[in-house]
Amino acid sequence: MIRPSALRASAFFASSLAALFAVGCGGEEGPPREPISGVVTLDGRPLEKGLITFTPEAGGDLVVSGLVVDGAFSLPRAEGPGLGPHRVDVWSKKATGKTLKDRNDPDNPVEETVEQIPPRYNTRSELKADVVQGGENRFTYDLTGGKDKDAAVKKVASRRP
Amino acid sequence: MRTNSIARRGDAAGREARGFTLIELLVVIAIIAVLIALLLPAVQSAREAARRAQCSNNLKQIGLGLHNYHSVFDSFPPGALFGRRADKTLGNNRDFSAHVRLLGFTEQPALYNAANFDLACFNDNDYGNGANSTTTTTRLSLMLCPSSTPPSWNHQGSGSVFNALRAPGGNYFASLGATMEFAGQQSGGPPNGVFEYVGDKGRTHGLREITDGSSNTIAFGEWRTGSGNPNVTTIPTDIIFLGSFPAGTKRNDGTLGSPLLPRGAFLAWASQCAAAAKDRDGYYGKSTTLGQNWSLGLVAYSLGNVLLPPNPRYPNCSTHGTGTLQSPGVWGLSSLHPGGANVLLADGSVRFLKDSVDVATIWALGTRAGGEIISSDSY
Repeated sequence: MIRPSALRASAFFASSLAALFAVGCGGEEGPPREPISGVVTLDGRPLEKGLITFTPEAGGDLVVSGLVVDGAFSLPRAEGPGLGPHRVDVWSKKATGKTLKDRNDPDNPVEETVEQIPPRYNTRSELKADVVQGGENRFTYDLTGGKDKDAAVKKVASRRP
Repeated sequence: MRTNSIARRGDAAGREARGFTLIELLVVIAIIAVLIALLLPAVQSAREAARRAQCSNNLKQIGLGLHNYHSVFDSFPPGALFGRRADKTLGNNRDFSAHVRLLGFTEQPALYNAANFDLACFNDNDYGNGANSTTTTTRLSLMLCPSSTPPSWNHQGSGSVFNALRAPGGNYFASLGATMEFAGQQSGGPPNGVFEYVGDKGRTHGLREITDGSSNTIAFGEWRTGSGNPNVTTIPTDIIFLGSFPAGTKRNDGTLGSPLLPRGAFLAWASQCAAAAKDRDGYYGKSTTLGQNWSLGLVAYSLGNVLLPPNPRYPNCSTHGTGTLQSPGVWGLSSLHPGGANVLLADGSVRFLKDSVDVATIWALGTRAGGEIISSDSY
Protein backbone atom coordinates (compact mmCIF):
# COMPACT_ATOMS: atom_id res chain seq x y z
CA MET A 1 0.00 0.00 0.00
CA ILE A 2 3.05 2.35 0.27
CA ARG A 3 3.01 4.48 -2.81
CA PRO A 4 6.10 5.96 -4.47
CA SER A 5 5.00 9.48 -3.56
CA ALA A 6 4.84 8.56 0.13
CA LEU A 7 8.27 6.95 -0.13
CA ARG A 8 9.66 10.11 -1.72
CA ALA A 9 8.06 12.23 0.98
CA SER A 10 9.49 10.18 3.80
CA ALA A 11 12.90 10.07 2.16
CA PHE A 12 12.84 13.87 1.85
CA PHE A 13 11.74 14.14 5.44
CA ALA A 14 14.49 11.84 6.68
CA SER A 15 17.18 13.67 4.74
CA SER A 16 16.01 17.09 6.01
CA LEU A 17 16.10 15.76 9.58
CA ALA A 18 19.61 14.48 9.00
CA ALA A 19 20.59 17.87 7.62
CA LEU A 20 19.19 19.57 10.71
CA PHE A 21 21.25 17.37 13.03
CA ALA A 22 24.36 17.68 10.89
CA VAL A 23 24.49 21.44 11.56
CA GLY A 24 26.48 21.46 14.78
CA CYS A 25 28.48 24.02 16.67
CA GLY A 26 31.98 25.09 15.78
CA GLY A 27 34.89 24.90 18.20
CA GLU A 28 35.42 27.66 20.73
CA GLU A 29 37.71 30.42 19.54
CA GLY A 30 40.43 31.89 21.69
CA PRO A 31 44.13 31.84 22.47
CA PRO A 32 45.74 28.41 22.93
CA ARG A 33 45.59 27.15 26.52
CA GLU A 34 47.33 24.29 28.26
CA PRO A 35 46.22 21.98 31.07
CA ILE A 36 48.53 22.23 34.08
CA SER A 37 48.94 20.49 37.42
CA GLY A 38 51.38 20.41 40.29
CA VAL A 39 52.21 20.34 43.97
CA VAL A 40 52.59 23.07 46.61
CA THR A 41 54.23 22.42 49.97
CA LEU A 42 54.64 24.80 52.88
CA ASP A 43 57.56 24.04 55.22
CA GLY A 44 57.73 20.50 53.91
CA ARG A 45 54.07 19.69 54.33
CA PRO A 46 51.40 19.76 51.58
CA LEU A 47 49.53 23.07 51.66
CA GLU A 48 46.15 22.16 53.10
CA LYS A 49 44.06 24.73 51.28
CA GLY A 50 45.00 27.70 49.17
CA LEU A 51 44.94 29.42 45.82
CA ILE A 52 47.54 29.53 43.08
CA THR A 53 47.52 32.19 40.37
CA PHE A 54 49.31 32.27 37.01
CA THR A 55 49.84 35.74 35.52
CA PRO A 56 51.44 35.99 32.06
CA GLU A 57 54.68 37.98 32.26
CA ALA A 58 54.08 39.35 28.77
CA GLY A 59 50.86 40.98 30.00
CA GLY A 60 47.38 40.19 28.84
CA ASP A 61 44.09 39.33 30.44
CA LEU A 62 44.42 35.53 30.54
CA VAL A 63 45.13 35.32 34.28
CA VAL A 64 44.06 31.98 35.74
CA SER A 65 43.78 30.61 39.26
CA GLY A 66 43.37 27.18 40.73
CA LEU A 67 42.37 25.76 44.07
CA VAL A 68 45.12 23.97 46.02
CA VAL A 69 43.72 21.11 48.08
CA ASP A 70 46.06 18.95 50.19
CA GLY A 71 49.04 20.25 48.26
CA ALA A 72 47.76 19.44 44.78
CA PHE A 73 46.34 21.64 42.07
CA SER A 74 45.24 20.99 38.50
CA LEU A 75 43.59 23.09 35.84
CA PRO A 76 41.95 21.50 32.78
CA ARG A 77 42.65 22.94 29.33
CA ALA A 78 39.49 25.05 29.32
CA GLU A 79 40.63 26.83 32.50
CA GLY A 80 44.38 26.63 31.98
CA PRO A 81 46.91 29.39 31.26
CA GLY A 82 48.23 30.51 27.89
CA LEU A 83 51.74 29.73 26.65
CA GLY A 84 54.96 31.33 27.86
CA PRO A 85 56.51 32.44 31.15
CA HIS A 86 54.16 33.19 34.03
CA ARG A 87 54.48 34.74 37.46
CA VAL A 88 53.02 32.46 40.13
CA ASP A 89 51.39 33.60 43.39
CA VAL A 90 50.27 31.36 46.24
CA TRP A 91 47.74 32.48 48.85
CA SER A 92 46.35 30.73 51.88
CA LYS A 93 44.52 32.26 54.79
CA LYS A 94 44.31 30.83 58.23
CA ALA A 95 42.00 31.60 61.13
CA THR A 96 43.82 32.88 64.21
CA GLY A 97 41.05 31.68 66.50
CA LYS A 98 40.40 35.22 67.69
CA THR A 99 37.22 37.11 66.92
CA LEU A 100 37.01 40.81 66.22
CA LYS A 101 34.12 42.79 67.60
CA ASP A 102 32.53 45.31 65.31
CA ARG A 103 31.49 48.51 67.04
CA ASN A 104 28.71 49.15 64.55
CA ASP A 105 27.39 45.63 64.48
CA PRO A 106 28.12 44.08 67.89
CA ASP A 107 25.72 41.19 67.28
CA ASN A 108 27.90 39.72 64.56
CA PRO A 109 31.53 39.34 65.69
CA VAL A 110 33.83 38.33 62.85
CA GLU A 111 36.65 35.77 62.92
CA GLU A 112 40.15 37.04 62.34
CA THR A 113 42.22 35.45 59.60
CA VAL A 114 45.82 35.97 58.50
CA GLU A 115 47.68 35.22 55.29
CA GLN A 116 50.04 32.39 56.17
CA ILE A 117 52.10 32.48 52.96
CA PRO A 118 55.01 34.98 53.08
CA PRO A 119 54.77 37.94 50.65
CA ARG A 120 57.72 36.69 48.61
CA TYR A 121 55.36 34.03 47.26
CA ASN A 122 52.37 36.25 46.53
CA THR A 123 52.42 40.06 46.63
CA ARG A 124 56.13 40.13 45.64
CA SER A 125 56.30 36.69 44.15
CA GLU A 126 59.57 35.16 42.96
CA LEU A 127 57.89 31.97 41.73
CA LYS A 128 57.85 31.27 37.99
CA ALA A 129 56.27 28.81 35.59
CA ASP A 130 57.03 28.35 31.89
CA VAL A 131 54.00 26.88 30.16
CA VAL A 132 54.97 25.03 26.97
CA GLN A 133 52.72 23.73 24.24
CA GLY A 134 52.03 20.00 24.52
CA GLY A 135 54.43 19.62 27.46
CA GLU A 136 53.75 17.93 30.75
CA ASN A 137 53.36 21.33 32.47
CA ARG A 138 53.70 19.93 35.96
CA PHE A 139 55.07 22.36 38.53
CA THR A 140 56.31 21.88 42.08
CA TYR A 141 56.67 24.72 44.56
CA ASP A 142 58.30 24.16 47.94
CA LEU A 143 57.55 27.21 50.06
CA THR A 144 59.27 27.98 53.34
CA GLY A 145 58.76 30.49 56.11
CA GLY A 146 55.08 30.04 56.77
CA LYS A 147 55.56 29.86 60.51
CA ASP A 148 58.38 32.41 60.89
CA LYS A 149 57.60 35.26 63.22
CA ASP A 150 59.66 37.66 61.08
CA ALA A 151 58.14 36.53 57.79
CA ALA A 152 55.82 39.53 57.80
CA VAL A 153 52.58 37.67 58.19
CA LYS A 154 50.00 39.98 56.75
CA LYS A 155 46.80 40.71 58.51
CA VAL A 156 43.92 40.39 56.09
CA ALA A 157 40.95 40.74 58.35
CA SER A 158 39.63 44.23 57.82
CA ARG A 159 37.08 46.12 59.78
CA ARG A 160 34.03 47.93 58.65
CA PRO A 161 34.67 51.58 57.89
CA MET B 1 -27.20 4.11 10.41
CA ARG B 2 -25.63 0.69 10.50
CA THR B 3 -26.97 -0.36 7.17
CA ASN B 4 -25.96 2.97 5.79
CA SER B 5 -22.26 2.59 6.68
CA ILE B 6 -22.17 -0.95 5.37
CA ALA B 7 -23.60 0.26 2.18
CA ARG B 8 -21.01 3.06 1.92
CA ARG B 9 -18.16 0.69 2.58
CA GLY B 10 -19.42 -1.67 -0.05
CA ASP B 11 -19.76 1.24 -2.36
CA ALA B 12 -16.13 2.29 -1.94
CA ALA B 13 -14.68 -1.18 -2.36
CA GLY B 14 -14.84 -0.95 -6.06
CA ARG B 15 -12.76 2.23 -6.43
CA GLU B 16 -9.30 3.19 -5.18
CA ALA B 17 -9.50 4.56 -1.60
CA ARG B 18 -9.31 8.39 -1.36
CA GLY B 19 -7.50 10.00 1.59
CA PHE B 20 -4.21 9.69 3.49
CA THR B 21 -2.28 6.51 4.04
CA LEU B 22 -0.87 5.93 7.50
CA ILE B 23 2.67 6.80 6.32
CA GLU B 24 1.56 10.10 4.82
CA LEU B 25 -0.25 10.99 8.02
CA LEU B 26 2.84 10.20 10.10
CA VAL B 27 5.04 12.25 7.77
CA VAL B 28 2.72 15.23 8.06
CA ILE B 29 2.63 14.95 11.85
CA ALA B 30 6.41 14.69 11.98
CA ILE B 31 6.87 17.75 9.77
CA ILE B 32 4.47 19.73 11.94
CA ALA B 33 6.41 18.58 15.03
CA VAL B 34 9.68 19.80 13.52
CA LEU B 35 8.13 23.16 12.63
CA ILE B 36 6.84 23.59 16.19
CA ALA B 37 10.22 22.63 17.54
CA LEU B 38 11.75 25.35 15.38
CA LEU B 39 9.13 27.86 16.45
CA LEU B 40 9.18 27.26 20.21
CA PRO B 41 12.57 28.87 20.90
CA ALA B 42 11.45 31.88 18.88
CA VAL B 43 8.33 32.20 21.03
CA GLN B 44 10.42 31.88 24.19
CA SER B 45 12.86 34.54 23.02
CA ALA B 46 9.94 36.84 22.21
CA ARG B 47 8.78 36.40 25.81
CA GLU B 48 12.29 37.19 27.05
CA ALA B 49 12.39 40.26 24.80
CA ALA B 50 9.20 41.49 26.43
CA ARG B 51 10.64 40.94 29.91
CA ARG B 52 13.80 42.75 28.87
CA ALA B 53 11.73 45.68 27.65
CA GLN B 54 10.01 45.94 31.01
CA CYS B 55 13.34 45.54 32.78
CA SER B 56 14.86 48.46 30.90
CA ASN B 57 11.68 50.47 31.40
CA ASN B 58 12.07 50.13 35.17
CA LEU B 59 15.59 51.52 34.82
CA LYS B 60 14.22 54.35 32.71
CA GLN B 61 11.73 55.21 35.46
CA ILE B 62 14.55 55.23 38.00
CA GLY B 63 16.44 57.56 35.67
CA LEU B 64 13.49 59.95 35.44
CA GLY B 65 13.21 59.86 39.23
CA LEU B 66 16.92 60.63 39.53
CA HIS B 67 16.59 63.73 37.38
CA ASN B 68 13.48 64.88 39.22
CA TYR B 69 15.40 64.45 42.45
CA HIS B 70 18.31 66.37 40.95
CA SER B 71 16.12 69.26 39.91
CA VAL B 72 14.82 69.56 43.49
CA PHE B 73 18.02 68.96 45.48
CA ASP B 74 20.65 69.93 42.88
CA SER B 75 22.40 66.63 43.48
CA PHE B 76 21.85 62.91 43.08
CA PRO B 77 20.79 61.07 46.28
CA PRO B 78 23.35 59.62 48.71
CA GLY B 79 24.04 55.87 48.59
CA ALA B 80 23.41 55.88 52.34
CA LEU B 81 23.97 58.24 55.27
CA PHE B 82 24.43 57.42 58.93
CA GLY B 83 21.36 56.02 60.66
CA ARG B 84 20.08 57.12 64.05
CA ARG B 85 19.29 54.47 66.60
CA ALA B 86 16.63 54.68 69.30
CA ASP B 87 19.30 55.83 71.80
CA LYS B 88 20.05 58.80 69.44
CA THR B 89 23.52 57.54 68.52
CA LEU B 90 24.48 57.70 64.86
CA GLY B 91 26.16 54.81 63.17
CA ASN B 92 27.07 52.99 59.97
CA ASN B 93 25.05 50.30 58.24
CA ARG B 94 21.55 51.24 59.22
CA ASP B 95 20.30 53.81 56.69
CA PHE B 96 18.03 53.74 53.63
CA SER B 97 19.25 53.26 50.09
CA ALA B 98 19.27 55.83 47.29
CA HIS B 99 16.30 53.94 45.86
CA VAL B 100 14.12 54.87 48.85
CA ARG B 101 15.03 58.54 48.46
CA LEU B 102 13.77 58.35 44.87
CA LEU B 103 10.36 56.92 45.78
CA GLY B 104 8.74 60.34 46.01
CA PHE B 105 9.81 60.99 42.41
CA THR B 106 8.82 57.62 40.96
CA GLU B 107 5.08 57.51 41.68
CA GLN B 108 5.43 55.87 45.11
CA PRO B 109 4.55 58.74 47.49
CA ALA B 110 2.82 56.45 50.00
CA LEU B 111 5.88 54.28 50.41
CA TYR B 112 8.08 57.38 50.53
CA ASN B 113 5.94 58.92 53.28
CA ALA B 114 6.09 55.69 55.26
CA ALA B 115 9.88 56.04 55.55
CA ASN B 116 11.17 57.98 58.55
CA PHE B 117 14.59 59.22 57.47
CA ASP B 118 15.37 60.40 61.02
CA LEU B 119 15.54 56.80 62.17
CA ALA B 120 17.61 53.78 61.34
CA CYS B 121 15.86 51.24 59.14
CA PHE B 122 17.89 48.11 59.96
CA ASN B 123 20.43 46.89 62.53
CA ASP B 124 18.30 48.61 65.16
CA ASN B 125 16.19 45.92 66.75
CA ASP B 126 14.93 48.24 69.49
CA TYR B 127 13.11 50.72 67.33
CA GLY B 128 14.06 51.60 63.75
CA ASN B 129 13.62 48.14 62.26
CA GLY B 130 9.98 48.09 63.25
CA ALA B 131 9.26 51.76 62.69
CA ASN B 132 10.46 51.64 59.10
CA SER B 133 9.35 48.13 58.25
CA THR B 134 6.60 49.29 55.88
CA THR B 135 9.18 50.60 53.45
CA THR B 136 11.89 48.04 54.07
CA THR B 137 9.80 44.92 53.70
CA THR B 138 7.73 45.85 50.63
CA ARG B 139 8.34 44.04 47.37
CA LEU B 140 8.24 46.70 44.65
CA SER B 141 7.91 45.77 40.98
CA LEU B 142 9.79 48.92 39.98
CA MET B 143 12.89 47.48 41.66
CA LEU B 144 12.58 43.99 40.17
CA CYS B 145 13.66 42.88 36.72
CA PRO B 146 11.09 40.39 35.37
CA SER B 147 13.81 38.28 33.70
CA SER B 148 15.30 37.50 37.09
CA THR B 149 13.21 35.52 39.55
CA PRO B 150 12.67 37.50 42.76
CA PRO B 151 13.89 35.89 45.99
CA SER B 152 11.93 32.82 47.04
CA TRP B 153 14.02 32.67 50.21
CA ASN B 154 13.82 34.48 53.53
CA HIS B 155 15.72 37.65 54.36
CA GLN B 156 19.10 36.81 55.89
CA GLY B 157 20.72 39.08 58.48
CA SER B 158 19.92 42.74 59.21
CA GLY B 159 18.11 42.08 62.51
CA SER B 160 14.55 41.60 63.73
CA VAL B 161 11.52 42.23 61.50
CA PHE B 162 13.43 40.88 58.51
CA ASN B 163 14.41 37.38 59.43
CA ALA B 164 11.06 35.65 59.22
CA LEU B 165 10.13 37.45 56.01
CA ARG B 166 10.62 36.59 52.40
CA ALA B 167 13.30 38.93 51.01
CA PRO B 168 11.80 41.78 48.95
CA GLY B 169 14.55 41.59 46.35
CA GLY B 170 16.11 44.30 44.21
CA ASN B 171 17.69 43.96 40.78
CA TYR B 172 18.98 47.51 40.29
CA PHE B 173 22.03 48.94 42.01
CA ALA B 174 23.36 52.46 42.30
CA SER B 175 26.84 52.52 40.77
CA LEU B 176 29.87 53.26 42.95
CA GLY B 177 31.93 53.51 39.77
CA ALA B 178 35.00 51.63 38.60
CA THR B 179 36.25 51.03 42.12
CA MET B 180 36.27 48.33 44.76
CA GLU B 181 35.85 50.99 47.45
CA PHE B 182 32.35 51.93 48.57
CA ALA B 183 32.88 54.29 51.49
CA GLY B 184 33.10 58.03 51.04
CA GLN B 185 34.80 58.22 54.44
CA GLN B 186 37.97 56.85 52.80
CA SER B 187 39.38 60.30 52.10
CA GLY B 188 42.43 58.85 50.36
CA GLY B 189 40.43 56.93 47.80
CA PRO B 190 36.68 57.48 47.80
CA PRO B 191 34.52 55.90 45.07
CA ASN B 192 34.75 57.44 41.61
CA GLY B 193 31.19 56.87 40.39
CA VAL B 194 27.90 58.73 40.69
CA PHE B 195 26.99 57.26 44.11
CA GLU B 196 28.89 56.39 47.24
CA TYR B 197 28.28 55.23 50.79
CA VAL B 198 28.23 58.75 52.21
CA GLY B 199 28.20 57.94 55.94
CA ASP B 200 29.33 61.01 57.84
CA LYS B 201 32.30 62.21 55.76
CA GLY B 202 31.36 61.28 52.20
CA ARG B 203 29.61 63.42 49.61
CA THR B 204 26.75 63.27 47.19
CA HIS B 205 27.42 64.08 43.55
CA GLY B 206 25.53 66.18 41.03
CA LEU B 207 25.64 66.56 37.29
CA ARG B 208 28.25 69.32 37.53
CA GLU B 209 30.74 66.80 38.90
CA ILE B 210 30.18 64.30 36.09
CA THR B 211 32.79 65.84 33.85
CA ASP B 212 33.10 62.70 31.72
CA GLY B 213 29.66 63.62 30.42
CA SER B 214 26.43 62.27 31.81
CA SER B 215 25.89 60.16 28.69
CA ASN B 216 29.25 58.45 29.27
CA THR B 217 28.79 57.57 32.93
CA ILE B 218 26.83 54.68 34.42
CA ALA B 219 24.42 55.69 37.21
CA PHE B 220 22.54 52.43 37.80
CA GLY B 221 23.08 48.85 36.69
CA GLU B 222 21.26 45.59 37.06
CA TRP B 223 22.16 42.30 38.69
CA ARG B 224 20.49 38.92 38.99
CA THR B 225 18.97 37.85 42.28
CA GLY B 226 21.30 35.59 44.24
CA SER B 227 20.34 31.94 44.68
CA GLY B 228 19.84 32.24 48.46
CA ASN B 229 21.17 28.69 48.68
CA PRO B 230 24.64 28.34 50.23
CA ASN B 231 24.86 24.72 49.08
CA VAL B 232 25.12 25.54 45.39
CA THR B 233 27.69 27.61 43.52
CA THR B 234 26.19 30.25 41.27
CA ILE B 235 28.49 32.35 39.10
CA PRO B 236 28.32 35.35 38.78
CA THR B 237 25.94 36.15 41.67
CA ASP B 238 27.68 34.43 44.60
CA ILE B 239 29.86 36.71 46.73
CA ILE B 240 33.06 34.94 47.78
CA PHE B 241 34.82 36.10 50.95
CA LEU B 242 38.34 35.81 49.61
CA GLY B 243 39.97 37.71 52.45
CA SER B 244 42.75 39.35 50.42
CA PHE B 245 43.24 42.43 48.27
CA PRO B 246 44.60 42.47 44.71
CA ALA B 247 48.42 42.60 44.86
CA GLY B 248 49.66 46.16 45.23
CA THR B 249 46.40 47.66 46.42
CA LYS B 250 45.14 48.86 49.76
CA ARG B 251 42.44 51.08 51.13
CA ASN B 252 42.70 54.81 51.45
CA ASP B 253 45.34 55.49 48.80
CA GLY B 254 43.23 55.30 45.64
CA THR B 255 44.67 52.00 44.39
CA LEU B 256 41.29 50.26 44.69
CA GLY B 257 39.79 52.28 41.84
CA SER B 258 40.43 53.32 38.26
CA PRO B 259 42.94 54.58 37.13
CA LEU B 260 45.36 53.42 39.86
CA LEU B 261 43.90 49.91 40.24
CA PRO B 262 46.37 47.60 38.45
CA ARG B 263 44.34 45.74 35.87
CA GLY B 264 46.42 42.55 35.82
CA ALA B 265 46.44 42.21 39.61
CA PHE B 266 42.72 42.90 39.69
CA LEU B 267 41.95 40.19 37.13
CA ALA B 268 44.27 37.79 39.00
CA TRP B 269 42.30 38.53 42.17
CA ALA B 270 39.00 37.95 40.36
CA SER B 271 40.27 34.65 38.98
CA GLN B 272 41.30 33.62 42.50
CA CYS B 273 37.70 34.18 43.54
CA ALA B 274 36.53 31.99 40.67
CA ALA B 275 38.86 29.23 41.88
CA ALA B 276 37.79 29.73 45.50
CA ALA B 277 34.15 29.43 44.44
CA LYS B 278 34.83 25.80 43.53
CA ASP B 279 35.77 24.95 47.08
CA ARG B 280 32.94 22.97 48.61
CA ASP B 281 34.17 22.74 52.20
CA GLY B 282 33.22 26.28 53.16
CA TYR B 283 36.90 27.24 53.66
CA TYR B 284 36.16 30.34 51.63
CA GLY B 285 32.86 31.61 52.94
CA LYS B 286 30.30 33.10 50.62
CA SER B 287 27.05 35.00 50.52
CA THR B 288 24.32 33.99 48.11
CA THR B 289 21.96 36.85 48.94
CA LEU B 290 22.88 39.39 46.24
CA GLY B 291 20.05 41.87 45.77
CA GLN B 292 17.95 40.66 48.67
CA ASN B 293 16.53 44.08 49.61
CA TRP B 294 16.38 47.22 47.48
CA SER B 295 15.72 49.53 50.42
CA LEU B 296 18.85 49.05 52.58
CA GLY B 297 21.83 51.29 51.93
CA LEU B 298 24.55 48.63 51.73
CA VAL B 299 26.77 47.14 49.08
CA ALA B 300 25.27 44.01 47.46
CA TYR B 301 21.84 45.31 48.51
CA SER B 302 21.49 48.64 46.70
CA LEU B 303 25.09 49.59 45.86
CA GLY B 304 27.32 47.89 43.32
CA ASN B 305 30.25 48.65 41.04
CA VAL B 306 31.19 48.32 37.39
CA LEU B 307 34.64 46.73 37.25
CA LEU B 308 33.86 43.66 35.15
CA PRO B 309 31.74 43.25 31.99
CA PRO B 310 28.19 41.90 32.49
CA ASN B 311 27.90 38.19 33.34
CA PRO B 312 31.64 37.54 33.75
CA ARG B 313 33.26 34.14 34.31
CA TYR B 314 34.11 35.34 37.81
CA PRO B 315 31.83 35.43 40.85
CA ASN B 316 31.36 38.54 42.95
CA CYS B 317 34.08 38.89 45.51
CA SER B 318 34.77 40.53 48.86
CA THR B 319 38.13 41.43 50.38
CA HIS B 320 36.71 40.48 53.75
CA GLY B 321 37.54 36.99 54.93
CA THR B 322 34.76 36.11 57.24
CA GLY B 323 31.33 37.22 56.31
CA THR B 324 30.52 40.92 56.57
CA LEU B 325 29.89 42.42 53.17
CA GLN B 326 30.94 45.93 54.20
CA SER B 327 34.47 45.75 52.87
CA PRO B 328 35.86 46.57 49.41
CA GLY B 329 34.95 44.08 46.72
CA VAL B 330 33.15 43.45 43.46
CA TRP B 331 29.36 43.37 43.14
CA GLY B 332 28.84 43.77 39.45
CA LEU B 333 26.54 43.62 36.45
CA SER B 334 24.69 40.41 35.70
CA SER B 335 21.39 39.43 34.14
CA LEU B 336 19.43 36.60 32.60
CA HIS B 337 19.11 38.46 29.29
CA PRO B 338 21.07 36.69 26.59
CA GLY B 339 24.34 38.48 25.87
CA GLY B 340 24.45 41.41 28.27
CA ALA B 341 22.80 43.60 30.88
CA ASN B 342 21.02 46.94 31.00
CA VAL B 343 22.62 50.04 32.44
CA LEU B 344 21.18 53.46 33.16
CA LEU B 345 23.48 56.29 32.18
CA ALA B 346 23.49 59.50 34.20
CA ASP B 347 21.66 61.39 31.43
CA GLY B 348 18.64 59.10 31.98
CA SER B 349 19.14 56.89 28.94
CA VAL B 350 19.17 53.10 29.18
CA ARG B 351 21.74 51.11 27.20
CA PHE B 352 22.21 47.37 26.76
CA LEU B 353 25.80 46.57 27.60
CA LYS B 354 27.18 43.47 25.88
CA ASP B 355 29.00 40.72 27.78
CA SER B 356 31.91 41.12 25.39
CA VAL B 357 32.62 44.76 26.25
CA ASP B 358 36.25 45.45 27.17
CA VAL B 359 37.31 45.92 30.81
CA ALA B 360 38.88 49.29 29.95
CA THR B 361 35.57 50.46 28.45
CA ILE B 362 33.62 49.38 31.54
CA TRP B 363 36.05 51.28 33.77
CA ALA B 364 35.74 54.36 31.56
CA LEU B 365 31.94 54.19 31.73
CA GLY B 366 32.06 53.74 35.49
CA THR B 367 34.06 56.81 36.46
CA ARG B 368 32.36 60.19 36.64
CA ALA B 369 35.49 62.28 36.11
CA GLY B 370 38.17 59.94 34.80
CA GLY B 371 38.73 61.88 31.58
CA GLU B 372 38.75 58.70 29.46
CA ILE B 373 37.80 58.78 25.79
CA ILE B 374 35.24 56.13 24.88
CA SER B 375 34.88 55.21 21.24
CA SER B 376 31.22 54.96 20.31
CA ASP B 377 31.72 51.50 18.81
CA SER B 378 33.29 50.06 21.94
CA TYR B 379 30.02 49.28 23.72
